[in-house]
Amino acid sequence: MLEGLLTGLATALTPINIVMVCVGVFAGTFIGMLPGLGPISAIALMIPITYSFEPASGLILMAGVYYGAVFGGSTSSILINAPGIAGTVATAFDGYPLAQAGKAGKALAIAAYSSFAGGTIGAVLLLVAAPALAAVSLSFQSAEYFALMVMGLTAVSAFAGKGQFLKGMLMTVLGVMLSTVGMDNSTGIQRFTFGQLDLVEGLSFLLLAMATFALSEALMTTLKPDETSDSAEAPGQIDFGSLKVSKAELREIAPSVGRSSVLGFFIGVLPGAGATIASFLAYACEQALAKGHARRQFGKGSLRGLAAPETANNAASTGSFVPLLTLGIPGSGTTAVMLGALISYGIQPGPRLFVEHPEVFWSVIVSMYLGNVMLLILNLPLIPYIARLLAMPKPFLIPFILFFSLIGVYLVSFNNFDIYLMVGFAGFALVFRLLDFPMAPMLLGFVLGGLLEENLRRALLISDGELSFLWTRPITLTILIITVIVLLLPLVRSGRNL
Amino acid sequence: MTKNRVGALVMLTLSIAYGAMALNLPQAPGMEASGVTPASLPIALSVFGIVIAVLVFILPGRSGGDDSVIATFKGLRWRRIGYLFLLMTGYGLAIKPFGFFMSTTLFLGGGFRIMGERRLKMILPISIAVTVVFWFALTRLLSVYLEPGVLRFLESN
Repeated sequence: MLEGLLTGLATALTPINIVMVCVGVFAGTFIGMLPGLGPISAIALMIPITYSFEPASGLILMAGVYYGAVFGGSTSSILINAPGIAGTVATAFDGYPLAQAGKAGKALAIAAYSSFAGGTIGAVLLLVAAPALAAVSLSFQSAEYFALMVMGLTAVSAFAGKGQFLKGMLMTVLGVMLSTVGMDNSTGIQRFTFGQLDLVEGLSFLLLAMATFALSEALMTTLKPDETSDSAEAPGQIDFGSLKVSKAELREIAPSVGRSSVLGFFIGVLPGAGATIASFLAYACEQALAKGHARRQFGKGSLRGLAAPETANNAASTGSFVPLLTLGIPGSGTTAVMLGALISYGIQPGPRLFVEHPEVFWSVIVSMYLGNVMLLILNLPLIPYIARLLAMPKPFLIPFILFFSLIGVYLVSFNNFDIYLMVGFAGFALVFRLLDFPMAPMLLGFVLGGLLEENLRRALLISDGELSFLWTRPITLTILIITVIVLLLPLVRSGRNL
Repeated sequence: MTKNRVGALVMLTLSIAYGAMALNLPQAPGMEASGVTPASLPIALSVFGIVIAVLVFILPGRSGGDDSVIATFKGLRWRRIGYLFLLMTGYGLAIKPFGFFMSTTLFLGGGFRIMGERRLKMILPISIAVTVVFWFALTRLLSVYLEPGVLRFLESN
């Protein structure tokens, strides 16, 4: 492990990769602060840029963007009560009241320190958990992988939220359907191409991610006139107050930070659970543990109420890299985007990544920590200035986002057809967002679809076309039993409201 | 009709169409006897899609709030969105014949105008400046080829 860690340090600490972390964290914070744009859009916008880099540098940039975007989302939650992503909704419960009381600087500082602590503890746990899990999963074969893919796909829907389970499943199925477009690698038969040569290679992951997230989120912001129309200009005019946090305040939040880090990390490791559930659980946990006056402060500007979800969402972000790096299973929409990017670099995450590309594996782990350091030393002092950038009026901001999305995809293929496809998918995503259908499961289904089919075929080939591999292999059976339990969770949780 | 039902109906239609196409996929030579063919997964997906879409359609949705699709779609800026979609499609059509520089300037300028910016003294300089910076970064710093389009004569000079 020490050797790997040194390899990671050597890769992550090269000047170019340090620049990547800085740029990633800064760009992520800026994009994450924009109402409506979350980490998935932020990372998707960065992918075309990363194509010209080494895989390690590209992944380091994306990891920085991820952290920055999560922190940026917290910033808009605190300053204007407009969480960019679901994972920072709980941050607004106490962060916004603090900002209203003239303590925006203090709230941002606590959010940054908590994120740093959550990320640090998460990175240490990742350092221990990832190689151990990777070593175990080296014994996995196609059957186990197939079962894991099934678990990953169902878990995302299971944790999608109340009333979202079936819709999540439906979108997952749609994603897998989209992954079947193009030439079948095993037989050379074209599927669902409608005779279009442009579709023979299949749909581009980048195109789908950009259309369903960056483009449709920007269009969604334009479509709804009242919610955030003027708020993008607000942060530039806020009085931030002091960024200082007293020792007594740090002592007050320390136990919450410790608990929420561990809780957040383990929830992040679960496929599909992610930062949103982690932040709400950590908030609820701290509220339940608080007594008397401290408890009454929750929702009115409690420091513990702010620190807990901030710590947990960052620790969960780190935790979600465990299944991605060790099993090749993305646990969230964000890590699905990263998996798609890695596959397009020609790298297949999973236990072999640990063996074949140790520099990528370890440098990502090291850069997680660097990202947190940068967030603290670079972003916190710059927040008032980044917030002023948001004073950019919406009439200019939205066309820029549309332009970057379109040109990002066009520059990869130089094919107009991709622009038309993007416009079509963006329209579809816009309507389905309005109908309250989640988009992340679709992207996950698309990314995992190809691997799912490949592993199913291989497993069937090994077992002479018999499905018995599903119950005769102990690990496969165990994973499938867990999948069934995960599937039954929403039934128990929400009764008929699936 | 509720949002869930409209979404479910769309997905049901898609799943049925997808399944019909999957049934007509050609068989690969020698694959007939094996357990899995290029159509196996698509057919299974189609069945899953149909079953889940029917479940979404018949099961009650979340209680509370206005779930009506008309209420959801009413009062939104559809005209502005329509113009933006036309603008994006137009960008796809224009980028090769008109070239990167001209089509991007027009795209950005058009986008600013659609989004409500009226001042030409803001629209023109910003759209041209952003295009120039982007063009310079791509062609000169990253050595990416961009179509000159109607400005080809400048390149030949």
